[in-house]
Amino acid sequence: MHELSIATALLELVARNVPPGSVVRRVTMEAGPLRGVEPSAMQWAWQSARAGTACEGAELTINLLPWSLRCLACGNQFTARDVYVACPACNADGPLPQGNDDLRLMSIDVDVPDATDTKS
Amino acid sequence: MQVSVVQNVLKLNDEVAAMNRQRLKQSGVFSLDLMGAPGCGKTALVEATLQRLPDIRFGVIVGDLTTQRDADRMARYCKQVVQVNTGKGCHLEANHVHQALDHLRLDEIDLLIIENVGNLICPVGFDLGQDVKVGMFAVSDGDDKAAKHPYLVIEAGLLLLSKVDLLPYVPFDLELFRTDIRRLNPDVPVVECSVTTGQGLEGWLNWLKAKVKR
Repeated sequence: MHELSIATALLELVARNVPPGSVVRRVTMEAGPLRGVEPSAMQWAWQSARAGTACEGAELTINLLPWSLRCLACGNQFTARDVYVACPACNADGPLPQGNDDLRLMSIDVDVPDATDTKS
Repeated sequence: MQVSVVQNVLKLNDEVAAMNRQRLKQSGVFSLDLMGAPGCGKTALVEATLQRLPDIRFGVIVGDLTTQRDADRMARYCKQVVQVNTGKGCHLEANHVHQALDHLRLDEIDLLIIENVGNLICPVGFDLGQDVKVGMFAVSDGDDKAAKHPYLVIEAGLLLLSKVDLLPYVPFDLELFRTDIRRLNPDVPVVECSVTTGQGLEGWLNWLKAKVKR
């Protein structure tokens, strides 16, 4: 299940972007439809993979991006949740998918260790 | 506090893929990532390819969860074969290929075939450093598989439909299959073939020959 690979890669990327000793509260990611990320599978993978890391208690927010499509009949560019839809402008079938295959770590909500904090 | 990052999640994989790509390019190797469901005939296709194109110097990297069986089959026709066992991993990643390349003499290879783990879904999004992604469907798997796997269809530089010798025996709407592909990727070449009978294989072999002539 590729969501597990994605979760592992996400954790590595988060670790590179926060100072050591940080406690991560939330990680926000975006996934384009081409990536086939299934939200419940992604959440399961996240919960499995985050144990023992700075993200141990962190929530994962997944923004699923829509398909970008172009109608071959009228040229209309639009977005939709499914690739097999009719053009909203002229109702023609079979719009051409334009993507998207983004898979991005967008932001991290983190408690950064205080320099004066004596607790480890 | 919120740290804005906006970075590709597979950044690390893609960095290794870029290194692989550079290394292959420097050695003048054309490479492809062959993906398809388990049992669609990837290994059989590679075996047939190795036998029918003796003038091309091949290298093969084959990924499976476990066993050396695919590598053993192909080693009968090719001296440069590396088996990667992923354990539980359902797809190859750039790191696997990076390590496999160390076991190949790239200056003695014209064409590298990377046969991915049998899977129509997970491998597609992982850049290995290849020149082209090739997707393979089989007649015996049903005519709706292209429509159900748009990512592979969209990303592929060539698609194969194998086991066409079974068309008289299984329900398969060839026009539907072709239409589904055209809808997602209008320009992708589609080779309809049978490794068993040899029908249609010329299309695949000619495409490979053209890629190697540079």
